[in-house]
Amino acid sequence: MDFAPTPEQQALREKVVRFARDHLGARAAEHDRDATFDESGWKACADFGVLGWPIKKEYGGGGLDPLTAIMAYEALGEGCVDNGLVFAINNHLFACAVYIADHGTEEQRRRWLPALCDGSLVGAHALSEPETGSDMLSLTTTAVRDGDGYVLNGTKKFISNGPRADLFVVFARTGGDDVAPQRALSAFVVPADTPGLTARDIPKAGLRGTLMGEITFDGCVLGEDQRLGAEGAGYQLFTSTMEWERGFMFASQVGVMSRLTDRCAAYAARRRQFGRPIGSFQSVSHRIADMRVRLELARLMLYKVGWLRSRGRLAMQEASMLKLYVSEGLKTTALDAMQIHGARGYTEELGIEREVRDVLAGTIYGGTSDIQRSIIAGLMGLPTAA
Amino acid sequence: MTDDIAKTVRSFIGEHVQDGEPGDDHDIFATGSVSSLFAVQLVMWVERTFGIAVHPTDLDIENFRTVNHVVRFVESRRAAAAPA
Ligand SMILES: Cc1cc2nc3c(=O)[nH]c(=O)nc-3n(C[C@H](O)[C@H](O)[C@H](O)COP(=O)(O)OP(=O)(O)OC[C@H]3O[C@@H](n4cnc5c(N)ncnc54)[C@H](O)[C@@H]3O)c2cc1C
Repeated sequence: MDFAPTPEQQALREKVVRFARDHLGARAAEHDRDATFDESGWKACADFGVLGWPIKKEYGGGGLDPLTAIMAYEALGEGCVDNGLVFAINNHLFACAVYIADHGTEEQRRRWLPALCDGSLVGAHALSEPETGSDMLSLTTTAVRDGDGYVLNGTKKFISNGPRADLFVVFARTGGDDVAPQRALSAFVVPADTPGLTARDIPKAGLRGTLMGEITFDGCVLGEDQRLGAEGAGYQLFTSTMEWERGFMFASQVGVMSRLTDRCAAYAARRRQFGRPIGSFQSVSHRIADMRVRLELARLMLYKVGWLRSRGRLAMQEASMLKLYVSEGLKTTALDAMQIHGARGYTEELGIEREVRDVLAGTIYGGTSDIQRSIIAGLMGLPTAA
Repeated sequence: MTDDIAKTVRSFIGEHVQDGEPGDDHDIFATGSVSSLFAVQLVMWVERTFGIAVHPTDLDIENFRTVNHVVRFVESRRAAAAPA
């Protein structure tokens, strides 16, 4: 067991934090206020290689092993104050590109991955529906066989990047009532310019630099070559790839935890009341010590997921524990950061209130905290409905 | 050896399917009688019980859909890991 990053990983970490601080997030407040996607930040990330770090070089990616990639995304989250931009990248990569990398045919990988890695295509993941959230097996969007292909009908809701995306990984029902639920779903790659596809904006509380949308598929004609994996393998594909979303998407959140913890420590040393720094009051310093402990645990869990994946091992339970712990822990850290910064934390002055709004959704997307607990318990052998 | 593995697998699956212990060729995922998580639960149990590493690429229902499939999977992994 070795807890130290390699010199190369350490150097990459520092390089990414520097890049993110110097080139990203300068207009974070504006993108948050106006709910706009940071096109120039996206381009800068593409040029720096961010959009393809874990994808193989032959498909235009950076070819980083999972553990190194996880450290790089943690550094991105730490350095980039525009959480909306980072969330857009996370969805593009871990909920779209990696599905194609893991389950696409050679032809599909060559067709889509280079453009996703160089940022000329923005990816999205379309699973949730107006009536189907946690209970994904009951989704109602259908892809009905028609000649050599399929016809896609249905509505997807809360889709990150939706109104801006060029490419969707869409889950739809291909099996009838006679097919077991785990075999009834299939995944498809659907370009945004497919006739019959329309997108509508959904305004939201935080992560406003990532656009969210409701996507409607009205008689969209798909070729057989747009199906990812075998017909009926959608649930399997989702289960095996969800580790990326639950594990890797939360790497940047660990970075946010680190940034907030550092900010609080610096502020508590600087801000004086009653003739001394507020950090000398135990109720403040202990709050910061707890932030530091949460950060340490989050990082250990994160690196373990990266380590397992780098060894080609399953990390299903570890990824769920990580997602649960980081999202809940970050919420506590962000609210504590607001408290420590007093009125300056609550007003727009320091951007802390934005951080609070941005972290709230972490316990909802990618499977809510309740669902993660059910998965963890289920994987321990306990009976579960989810 | 195969009999021991089959007995262990049969008993684990029997505890989790709604209709009791299935036949060795019964497709446990065909009828929806197991929870959506059961496939992964089974994979993790196989790792723990038989001391073999299961990789993300093995997460194919084909490897785990009947008692006999699981037995074949365990045996193939053990054979691959055994010294030549
Ligand atoms: C910021 C953000 C981005 C998102 N991006 C995407 C995206 O890109 N693509 C996409 O497909 N979806 C996306 N979603 C949707 C997300 O995946 C769903 O919100 C999530 O799966 C929960 O579904 P729901 O909101 O319908 O809640 P519901 O499933 O209706 O749950 C409501 C409440 O009931 C609880 N609950 C439900 N079932 C159980 C149970 N069995 N046991 C205990 N409690 C339970 C939940 O924990 C929750 O508290 C996004 C959501 C957010 C907030």
